[in-house]
Amino acid sequence: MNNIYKELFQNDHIDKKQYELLDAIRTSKLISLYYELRLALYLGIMLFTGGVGYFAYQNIGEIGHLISMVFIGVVIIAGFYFIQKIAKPYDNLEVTVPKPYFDYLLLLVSLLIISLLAYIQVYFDLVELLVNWSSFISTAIFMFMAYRYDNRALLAMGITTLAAAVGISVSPIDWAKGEWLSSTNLYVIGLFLGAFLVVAGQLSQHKNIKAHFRFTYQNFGLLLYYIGCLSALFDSNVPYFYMFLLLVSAGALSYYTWNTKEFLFFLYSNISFYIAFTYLVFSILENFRGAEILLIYYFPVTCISYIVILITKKSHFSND
Amino acid sequence: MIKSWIAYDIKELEKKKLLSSAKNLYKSKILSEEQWGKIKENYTSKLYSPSIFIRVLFFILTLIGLSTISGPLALILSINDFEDLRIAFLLFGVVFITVTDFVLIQKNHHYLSGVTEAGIYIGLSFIAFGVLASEPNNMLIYPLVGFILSSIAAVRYLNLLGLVATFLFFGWILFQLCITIGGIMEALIPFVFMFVFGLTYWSCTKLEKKLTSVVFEDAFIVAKTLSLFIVYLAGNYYVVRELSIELMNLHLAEGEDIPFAFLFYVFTVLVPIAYLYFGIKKRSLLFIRTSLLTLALSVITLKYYFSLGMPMLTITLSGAILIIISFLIFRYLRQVQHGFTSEKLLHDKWSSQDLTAIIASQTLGGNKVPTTENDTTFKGGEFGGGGAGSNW
Repeated sequence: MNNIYKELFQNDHIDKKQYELLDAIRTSKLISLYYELRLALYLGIMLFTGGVGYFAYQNIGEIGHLISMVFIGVVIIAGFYFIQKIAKPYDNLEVTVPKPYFDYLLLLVSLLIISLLAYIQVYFDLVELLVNWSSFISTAIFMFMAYRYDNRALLAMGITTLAAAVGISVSPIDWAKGEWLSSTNLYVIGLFLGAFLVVAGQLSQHKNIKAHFRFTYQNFGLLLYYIGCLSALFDSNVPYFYMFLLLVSAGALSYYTWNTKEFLFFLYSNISFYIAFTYLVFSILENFRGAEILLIYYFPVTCISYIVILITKKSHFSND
Repeated sequence: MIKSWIAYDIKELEKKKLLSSAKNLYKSKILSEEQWGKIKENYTSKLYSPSIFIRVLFFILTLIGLSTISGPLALILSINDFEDLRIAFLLFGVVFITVTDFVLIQKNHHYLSGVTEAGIYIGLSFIAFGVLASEPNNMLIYPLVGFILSSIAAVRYLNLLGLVATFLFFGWILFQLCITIGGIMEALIPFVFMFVFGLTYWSCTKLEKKLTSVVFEDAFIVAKTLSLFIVYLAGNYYVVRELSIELMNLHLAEGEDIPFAFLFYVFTVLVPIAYLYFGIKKRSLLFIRTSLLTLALSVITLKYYFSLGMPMLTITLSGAILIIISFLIFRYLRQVQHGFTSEKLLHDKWSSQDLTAIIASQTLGGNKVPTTENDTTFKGGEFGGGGAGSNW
């Protein structure tokens, strides 16, 4: 078979019009630069917003700082003008805007707002005053933009800044209580924030408010939750509690995601469960003299038998 | 003839390819639900490939399972000395490959299932270890063994990572040969590389006309892109300079430059532009994409040696210029111009909004507030290994 489109056309699976379009694409009569241009745009945004933020720290004189702040402000206003022109009104369902660069325009404007905010903080010496709040403000801005204009990239950024915000706002308390607490708290926070995000994702699907945001919420949520649990498993002084927690939650989620066919979450859950299970086996075997010899067999035997079990269920996750 | 070297059933593989590009067309909203349903019925393939995440899980499990298996095996076979271990590795490498080939691929029709890739990689690495652990004196033997083994993966199992490795080992052989000959050949290495890999590109285009099956499409894209990329790298000033210093013990005093420096500056600038020109003229996305990548590398190379001392300003300005240029091209290509358009024609199988969201949040971050000490604690991480980590 040399030409898929021809094969489909000859067997009457596609009509002539479809075939002509596809053949034009195949023979490069029609070339789409959509992905190339978007990549260039993305790189440009990365460089531009990355660079702009650092001017605050450079010695470019009083007027230089004012000019760059005004400049950023003007770009933001111009950006908003375009956004308002193209955007559609808010809706709980997915809203798509047919402009290929709309989402990057949103990204640019949101990042510039954050940059301007950081700039103002540095310039007016507000860093100490706002140390606990600046990340929350960023989160709020990202979240607002994400929900108002329906953008998952901004949602993901909102979630990352939220994690940073929670982490930062807690650490001053840790210093007061003594250093040993700081790390414990961090993974407890990670664990709770993760669980919270998973629930938030579930709710957004359940209540049908931007149901397509669920994946982003739950992806970050599960990662935070599992990483929190796993670092607690190896770091805290109650490892068996976290081991038990992992075995139950990762086991239950493995079962659940297996049934709903969410294989990425199944993968996370499986890996976490396996680590917790290995921890259990090793800590049991530690108590028996001479049992070390069994440890050599542990990895090959468990891995290979699990593969064999999964392969026998292959019809469950066939991919067409 | 090549078709008989391939482990997979070509007919089934073609159906699989057809099915996946038809699915793509359906996702791009070119095919209707009904059409897609009919195609799915007519072209069911016997080949078994699980969804990508299950594939990653399989890959990880197989990798752990097979690479730790040498412990118990050594115990059972009571291997004590190194020579026995070497032979055992060689033997088990062959066993892994055979099992993967006969049981998984031929009998159970696995194709890109994660288990097959891991089995092939581990099997070939075991064989490579078995052969090379005796530490042969001739430096040529190492890349030669690597080349032979990876070309098995590339041809018999149509493995793209194997193909990349084949190219790299081929480059190593070429390099080693030039070094062994010595003298003038050492200085000519960049030109030898440009010539040979230019030739590889040319023979790929010739071979492509013979091997027209859709099964080989991806392999040719990878081979041609790599050839073009290596031709560029061989002429890139940074690469030539640093490799001359690292590998050929070239000592440069203050103010001194490598031989033919001017020529390499010219190559660094002209090769990407030539690619872009060909890309637009010959209407080839492959050339356009390679030219964009090499263009970026050239800019970085030149900035590295001719810095204006204002990195932040340069970054910001180049970002602004990139944004403006790509925005203008977007507007210009709203209507099709000479067959080029900025509209999305086909859905790319790697593009998903969820994936973009993750990448954007990890690369753009946005949190530039100075107190970011705990910032990194929570950032993502652990994205399941991607399925591409092999050790050779």
